[in-house]
Amino acid sequence: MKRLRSTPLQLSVILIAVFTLFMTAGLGIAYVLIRDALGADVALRAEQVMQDLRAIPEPAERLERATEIVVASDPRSLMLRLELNGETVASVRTLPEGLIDAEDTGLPEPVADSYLVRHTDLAPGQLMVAVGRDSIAELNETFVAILGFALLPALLLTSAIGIVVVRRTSTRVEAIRRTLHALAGGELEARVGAPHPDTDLGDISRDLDRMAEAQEAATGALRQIGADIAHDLKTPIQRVAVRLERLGETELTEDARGLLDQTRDETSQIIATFESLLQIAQLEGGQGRDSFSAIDLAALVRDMAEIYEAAAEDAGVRLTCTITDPLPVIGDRHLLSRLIANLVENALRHAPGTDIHLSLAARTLSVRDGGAGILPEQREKVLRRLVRLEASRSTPGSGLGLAMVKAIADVHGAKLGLDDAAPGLVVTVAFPA
Amino acid sequence: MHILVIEDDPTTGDYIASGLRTEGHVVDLISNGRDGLIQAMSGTYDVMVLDRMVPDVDGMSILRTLRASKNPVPVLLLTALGGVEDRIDGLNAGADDYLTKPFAFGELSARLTALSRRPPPADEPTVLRAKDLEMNLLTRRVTRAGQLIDLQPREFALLEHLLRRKGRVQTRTMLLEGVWDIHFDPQTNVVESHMSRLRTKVDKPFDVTLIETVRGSGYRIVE
Repeated sequence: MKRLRSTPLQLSVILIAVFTLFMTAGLGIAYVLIRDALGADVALRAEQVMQDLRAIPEPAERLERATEIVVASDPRSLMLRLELNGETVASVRTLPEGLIDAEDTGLPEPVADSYLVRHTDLAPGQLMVAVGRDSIAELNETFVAILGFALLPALLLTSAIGIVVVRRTSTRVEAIRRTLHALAGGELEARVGAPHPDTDLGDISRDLDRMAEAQEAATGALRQIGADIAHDLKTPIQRVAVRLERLGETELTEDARGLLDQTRDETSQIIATFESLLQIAQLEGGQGRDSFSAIDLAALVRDMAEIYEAAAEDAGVRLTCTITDPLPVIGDRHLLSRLIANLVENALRHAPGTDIHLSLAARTLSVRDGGAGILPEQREKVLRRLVRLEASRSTPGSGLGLAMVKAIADVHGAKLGLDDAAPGLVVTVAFPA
Repeated sequence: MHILVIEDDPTTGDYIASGLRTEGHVVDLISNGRDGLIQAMSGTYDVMVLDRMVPDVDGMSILRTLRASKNPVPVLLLTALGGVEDRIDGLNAGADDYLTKPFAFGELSARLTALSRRPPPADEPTVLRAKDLEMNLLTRRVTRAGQLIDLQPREFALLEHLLRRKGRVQTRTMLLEGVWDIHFDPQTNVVESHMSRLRTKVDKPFDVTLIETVRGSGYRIVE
């Protein structure tokens, strides 16, 4: 279907159709005109012969003249028959081979179609003139020859040229389309590639490659900035952690020890938030795809359910999981386990004490809790970075859990949905087929 | 052990070096990539700690040069970047382990010990033992003092992981990576929950504790 939508193909087909139409119409008109002219010639010849013989009153002389006329003309193109008082006195003709001469019956039947036959009164006597339509039959042959030796090859040639042009342009159009698709999907190193022919399509592909180059450079710079920020921020955080650990090794009062522990907790929270922000930024920059492989999502969900089962039980929650068939997905195992973990932890944190259910059906992963849920108008909001609904301010968490889930889903081309589980929240992640 | 540490930040470098020296190791601390590369290529070390971002020659280049010259020394890569691709890049370049900054010294120490004492792959035991506990890897039976202990598959895997590294501390993240193949830090006490279940079966009915908690770092099976 895609090939049929190709513009060059459509143009070629239209062009060939128009060419064929005009050629056929031109030849047709020429044929009709020439045939009419030839027909008129044949009629004129018959008329001339009749006038010629009518002008001779003497039957004997008339016969002599008739013989002269026949001998002078092409032996197959003319037949004459003279009658006097109802009797054939002379039949002057040279019959085409294979025709039986039946003098009494006049003109043999099968010839009738190939001859123009005229009768006239000569007073005395009758004259029949039959002029061969050979020239018209030749005309037909000529036109068939024109069709076969000129029009058909021309048609084949134009079609062949059309196919080559369509192939060439559609390959380039397809290359451009594929590159755009790859770029849109985050494959920043995608290029149409040289050589760029000196055509409008060539210009477009060259410009596209230049644009992709610039985009890749910009993204690369952004990544470098991210790496630099990570390094420059993490080094001092590392120092703080080192000093806190050193401090912990010294003699401390009970109060100081408590403060130290709190500070440590806060530090690890800062680290976790920072780490998540960095990862989300990397995912949004398209990182992660390089490590994609075929994995069984069903097995992964089961594993994750098993990992969290004990922790959920300790929190007084039942974690159940209904999964039947294996579900092959192209993705990154670690990112997807992170996605499932974040959803389960979200449920544990924001819907405490309610059961959590994991299921997998129709390429869609669902995580359902029995908590307060999220109001429809706030659902879009919670997917944004660092957004935490007022009601959840008191609970721990960075506000990045769902944003990370969204980023991971996006990188996998999966669609994330938040819905009412009445009661509770159900988060769905629909993977592409 | 003779350990080479290539780390440009003096505070972190001193912290690693002094911590390792306290544990009785001989440590060479180098603060730039060029000297680090020369030292790494010329010296003989049991294990190396390599910061990914050091001046002059970056850690990844040092690592690639080492591996290109067929030097098999175990390398732990320290990095500020914790993304999936960064980790895979590091491992592909030939790192044996990967630790994201900031880290606790206990984590680093436990991982270095694990790296330096990798068992030869050919030597595959069928029965793991610790005191009166026996784990048969073929029949998947676990007994303690002759008593059969019924373990779930993951509990078995967790105990097996600890038994194979008897006497060595296994941190939370090492267990997450080794037993569950999880490479991020869950905000829920998943390891603690599984460990408490395992202990209920393995330690609670008996007088002597086998699985020991190491303050601030992790767990280990008593030798």
